[in-house]
Formats: sequence, structure tokens, C-alpha cells
Amino acid sequence: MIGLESVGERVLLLGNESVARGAVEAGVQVASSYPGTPSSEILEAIASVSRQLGIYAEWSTNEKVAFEVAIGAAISGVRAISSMKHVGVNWAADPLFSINQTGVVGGLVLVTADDPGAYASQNEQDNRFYALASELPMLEPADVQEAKEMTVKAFDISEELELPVMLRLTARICHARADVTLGPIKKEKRQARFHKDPARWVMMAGRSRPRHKWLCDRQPRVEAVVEALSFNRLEIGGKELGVIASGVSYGYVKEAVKKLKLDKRVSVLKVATYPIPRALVRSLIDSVSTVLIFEEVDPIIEHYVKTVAFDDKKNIQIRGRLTGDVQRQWDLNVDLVIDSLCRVLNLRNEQLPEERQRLVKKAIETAPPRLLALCAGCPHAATYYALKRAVYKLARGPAIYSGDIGCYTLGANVPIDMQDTNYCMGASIGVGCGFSQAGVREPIVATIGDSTFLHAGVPALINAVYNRAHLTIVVFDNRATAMTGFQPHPGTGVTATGEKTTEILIEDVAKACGAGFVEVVDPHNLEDSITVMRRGLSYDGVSVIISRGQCVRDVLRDARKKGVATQLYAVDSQKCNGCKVCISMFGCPALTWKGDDKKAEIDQVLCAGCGVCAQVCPLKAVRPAGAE
Amino acid sequence: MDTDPEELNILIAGVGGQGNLLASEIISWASVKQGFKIHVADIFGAAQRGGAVTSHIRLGKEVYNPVMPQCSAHILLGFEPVECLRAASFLRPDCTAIVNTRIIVPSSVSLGQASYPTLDQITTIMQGLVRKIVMLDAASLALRAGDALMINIVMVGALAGTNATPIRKETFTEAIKSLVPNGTEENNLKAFNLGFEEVHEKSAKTRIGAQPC
Repeated sequence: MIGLESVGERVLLLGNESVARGAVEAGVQVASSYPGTPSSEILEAIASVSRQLGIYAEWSTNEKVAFEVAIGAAISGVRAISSMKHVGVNWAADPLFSINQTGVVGGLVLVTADDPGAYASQNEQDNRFYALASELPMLEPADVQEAKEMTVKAFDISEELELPVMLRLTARICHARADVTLGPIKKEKRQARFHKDPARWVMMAGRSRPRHKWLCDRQPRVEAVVEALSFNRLEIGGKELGVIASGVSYGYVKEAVKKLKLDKRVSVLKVATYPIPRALVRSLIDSVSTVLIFEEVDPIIEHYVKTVAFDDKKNIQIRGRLTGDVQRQWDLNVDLVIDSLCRVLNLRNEQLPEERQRLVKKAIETAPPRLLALCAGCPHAATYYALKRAVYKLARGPAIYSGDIGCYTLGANVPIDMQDTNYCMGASIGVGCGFSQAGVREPIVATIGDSTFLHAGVPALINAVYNRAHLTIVVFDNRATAMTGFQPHPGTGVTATGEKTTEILIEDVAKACGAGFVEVVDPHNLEDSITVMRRGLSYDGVSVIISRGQCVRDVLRDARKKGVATQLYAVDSQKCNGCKVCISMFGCPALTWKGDDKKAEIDQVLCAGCGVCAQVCPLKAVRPAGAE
Repeated sequence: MDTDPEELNILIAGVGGQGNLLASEIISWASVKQGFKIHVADIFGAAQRGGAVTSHIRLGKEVYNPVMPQCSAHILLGFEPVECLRAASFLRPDCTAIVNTRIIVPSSVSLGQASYPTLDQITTIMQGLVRKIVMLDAASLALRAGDALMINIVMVGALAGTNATPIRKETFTEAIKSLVPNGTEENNLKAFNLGFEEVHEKSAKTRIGAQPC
């Protein structure tokens, strides 16, 4: 879809595809990323047209490497884009705080996909702070169409200012779909040429000092260029209240103003750039006595408006997240904006009558909670069960499980309940080392996925071996970056564009890092897995157990493609005594409880045929469906 | 090109893995094909595995953002009974709710920490919330079309069968042909038609609940 050449056509695009299309229209030549919700579809979309349009696209091992790949391209004069989720920028922050001083030749766009509300992340950090801290321009689209236009513009101003430009998306833009009008695709390719200039490109003590001055001297120009962009807009309505909104909040404000019929009473300033457009802020605060600010997540514009008001000696009310007129944390929506507008303007909020509120409350309370769970047939569920049994058999008491980022983090939920900590990519091993060195007495088990191990686990494993920690590392290897949508990684031997490449074997890496105990198990074979895990847990040093089983989603997809029927499993209700071990210890979502006759049952739509529950059942009451 | 409706909001509520996102894409694709302005938000948490998932589909020239406010949905496409309850705040009193009666038991219920209401209890609560409820066993229809996974397409068929959107039946079928995996078109169209016919047949048995405001 994003490779279509029909200029002016309106097509349905995901926000992330819209960014990808913008990069394609701008003539991008190199694209890099590491998968992470809500950013992943950007690189996937570019990779899907890479052959057709001659664009290089890669999944890098992590975001730092990804951004460095894009830097190499941009300082050689070609246009490059690097996209990642907000916490990925924490990795890329290291090169970010040097490339801002050298600047670029070819346009360089760093896309940060933030997650206000932390729906798919460990936090909801606001990456607009990175633009402020690195003194780089940032654009923030309010809708899907604008996401494309801003991407094209970001490349242009990056070259005009010789600086990388950040594009800040939020999940509500990334994963929104809308009709987008296509523009022309820039097809001419540039030859990459790196011109040596040590004073510019070699950021070392002494040489970086003048480059920071260069960056600071550039700021007035940055402000002028960014302020002039028409994405920033002041819509004069009335003088009762000035509303400032950025990103998706702008759409929420438009809808709330319409619903409350406030269009003649309030003026709205749409802020789409950082630096924030000072002249427009001035015009607004010149005409109103109260300003209400909607932004996700932190009060960045709010602080800025205060400084402008101070400079201009304006005695106005500035209200928003800091004053409690907008909730201090989390994402916004139309209802919250209506609430805030009603509070500030002293209006009654009559959107949901009381009688209706009562009905809604009852409906929601009647619905039983639905926690995320590992899929039916997930190899991780089998790995967790084997691990639980191995720890139990070891008889050293419960283990401490330091967790990591991936599908297996869902092992934190009941009934698995085997994630005691979770911070960030690779932290399972690092934090595990800390437990060990601090003298924690329980067995320490770090659980980490295959892609996460290659992203961030390797330096931590080397640290564990080097500093003689005592811990067991279980690599949940399902041969995919499954949680973010089955992207390949170095362990799969396939690239982003589908080419075969060297397969990096995790066991080879672990041995090369010096781990003394390295074994591979098949989680579908519980007995073997338990035996090996017990040995690993008893090992005096750093043990690494790679539990390798293809993600069940991939297994089912393959079977479907080949037309192979899956053998499902069923409970023999004669044999089942209702002990509930399968439900309360193993916890496959296909296993349900028949309350009437107090027996377990297997949902034949959800069952994936992995057969692990047949090994879990102490009474051998689970057998292939249809077998007598 | 068809004229944009003023505003039409469709809410899909279901469980991760039910194919809600494909259903959302088919409806949106068909809307754009007919020239409507559209904003869609697929809202899912980590991994979309077994958790509650919703899609907000908003057609119309006066729509500025993809996430609808409370009390906005003209149509609810409920893929799972209790997920319809969870979506209650978004429903308008004159909403048409199309409900798949097939239950997916949450782990909280299997573990005995919560209970699953009966279909009658759910219907009674829904009757107080919306004007019209259409119920169908989409899972059986999908199985009849050849694959239990196609309940999403059955539900799209049911949506088309209610005639509650300005999207034509043939635009829906065109969308399905473009978006489902190669080789599965025939079965998917069968699933679509089964959903369509089921709802047409059901219209006589429609339950009447709350009056529009």
C-alpha cells in the first residue's frame, strides 16, 4: 500500500504506515529499527517496499545500533530514518547526544513512538524531553494525515538546519487508521559519500566543545524555521479561554469544543513543534486571561507558557496538569477534556446522565476481569511449568525470578506468577547479578526472551560470568520477536526484508561469553526440561538454559498454510478427578472449569494441540481428541 | 463518491485473538472505498493476547479524532458477551448491538476468582442500555463456513445484514477479498454471507430495549 504511485489517491493507512509513506515520499534510502509497540509497523511497511523502491531496511539488534546505522547513512549524505518505541530512545540517547553536535548532511529523522497511559510498556515517559535536552527540533502530528506530511517536512528541515529532527508519535497516532492522501515519491537516489572532517565528526574531549557552541548558536535559526511551519495554528474563537493542545489532544479539544458549543467562546492554539512557537503563544496570551493546556504526558508546554508569561509580564492564569485541572499522569480523551473545560468554565457536565451512569456501572461490574495470558499452546507456558517443577524439586525454597521484556512477561499474571521484577530490556540478568552479589539466599533465575537476549542480554551475561555471579538464566526462545508482531531477529537467520543470513545461535553466544553450563531443551518435553533445569539450578556459577520451541502462532500459521490438521486434546471426564493442577498450576487459556460436574475441560476452538497438558495431568486424563 | 454521514460510530469489542483487528480493517477499508472520511483506533494492550480489545471506527466529515467519547457508539459489534458489558460507557441509548453469544472464559473465572454471568443476565443489562440487540452464534456459523477462526468475518457479515451503515454489501465483499490471506477468500465470503443471512432472518426476532434519548 505505501508503495502506490497514484498521487492524490486517498487510501486507508495506519499512522505508522503514514510515517513510512512520508519517508518514502521524501526519498529515504536507509531505514532501521528494533521492534517495539507502538512503533514496529513503520519499519515493516518500509521493508515491504524496500525491493520495489531500492530502500535499505533493517531490524537492528537494538535501538542504539539502529540509530547509529541511520547516523552513518545521514553523515554520508543520504536520507535515513530510525524508528523505535519511547523506551528504545533511552538506548539511542547515547549517540543522540553526540550527533546533535556534529549535525548531519543527509536528512535524519528519529521517530519516537510514545505510549501515554503505558498500555504496552513499562512506563509512559514523555520523549519530548529528549528534544529539549538534545536541543534538537521535534515535530508532533495531531492525526494520521499530518504524520505523513510532517515526516516529509522533517527530512527537509533536517537538511536545511543540518540537524537530526525528531518526530514524536503517540500510540493513538501510531495505531489509528485514516484515509490519507498520497503525494509523489521522490525517486532519485543519492550516492553516499563521507567527507572526512575530523573537527566535525570526531567527538572527543576538546573537539566537542566548539561543536556544542555551534549547536547553541544554531538555536535562533531552529526556532525561526520551526515556528514558521503551518502545523502550528492559532484558531481565534472567543476570549473567554485560551486552549493550547498538542498531538492527539488537539482532536480531543476540537470534539469537546463542538460538543459543548464553545466555538465562539474559546480560542485554540495547536502546538505541533518544539521549540514551541513563541509568537503564537504570545498572540494567545495577549488576548485571554486564562489558558488551559492539554498535552501528553508531562507539563512541558505548561512550563513554557509560564516562562513566556513571565518574560512578557503577563498576569494570567495558566492551568493544566500542574494545577490539577487536567489529570497529572496518563493519556487524555475527549471525556477528560470535556471535564476540564467544564471545571475551568464553570459549566455542568451533562454528557452522561446519572441514571445512565448507574446502568453503565452495573454492566462493567458484571463483567469478570480479563487479564492478558500466554496463548493456548504457548511454549513459554510449558517452560514456566517445567521451571516451577524444577525449582520445587530442588527443595531450596521458592526462587526469585528476575523478569524481562517480551511475551513471557505475561508469566507475571496468575496462575503462572513467576516474574518478581521487570524493568527494561536485559535487566533480568543485570538485576539477577545484583541479587546474587548482594547475598540474596534464594535460587536466582533470570528469564529472558531470544530477541531480548541478543538486544541487551549479552553484555549482562558477560558481566555475570566475569564477576562470578551465581544465577540461572533461562532463555525463552520462541524463534521470533513475537510480542511485537513476529519480526525476525539475528537468531532466526532471516533479515527484515526476508533474505537468509547467518543464524546467530544463542548457545554459541552463551558459551563464548564463558558460561560454564549451557544446555538447550525442548519445552514440549516436560520431563527432560525439568531434569536439565534442575541440573542448571544446582550448578555452581552461571548456568544458561535455552528453552527452544517455535511460537505457537507461527506453528499454527504454518499448519494452516500447508493444510495440515492440528491434533487437538480433550479431557476424559471419567478419569479427571477435578484436582485442578492443569488450571491452577499450568494455566493454559484453553483449559476451563466445568463447575457443574467439577471437571476440567478443553476448549476445542482455543486448543492448539501442543499436548503439554497431557504431560501435566497427574491422572493422564488428557488425551488426543477423538481417541478412545 | 457517496456523501459522508454526519457522524457514525461503530465499536468493536472482543478478546485478543478473535480477529477483531482484521474486522476493523475490513470495515475501514470499505468505508474509504466508498469515499467516506474515517478515523479508526484499534486499542489493545501488550501483546493483545487474551485481553480485552476494542476498535473505534468513526465515519463522518465532522470527526477529528479516532477515539470516541462515552455514549457515542451507534453500533456495537460485540465479539464476546461480557466484552459488550465492558464497553457499556461508549454505547448510545439508540445503539444497535450485534452480539456473538459464544463465550470465552477469562482465567479469573477458571481460577474461581470471578464468575461469568448467564446470557440472560447479560441480555437484561444490555436491554437497559441499548435500543436493539441482535444475537447470533458466530462461532457455529464460522465453523459451518469451514474454520472457527472466521467469527470476525461472520460478524462483519452480520453488520452488513443490519443495514445500519451506509457501506454497501458489495463493498464489504470487495474489502474481504482484498484483505484476507490468499486462498481463503472463498471460505471467508461464505462466512460473511452466513453472518449476513443470519441477521436478516433474525430481524423478526429482534429484542426491543431502551428508547432513544
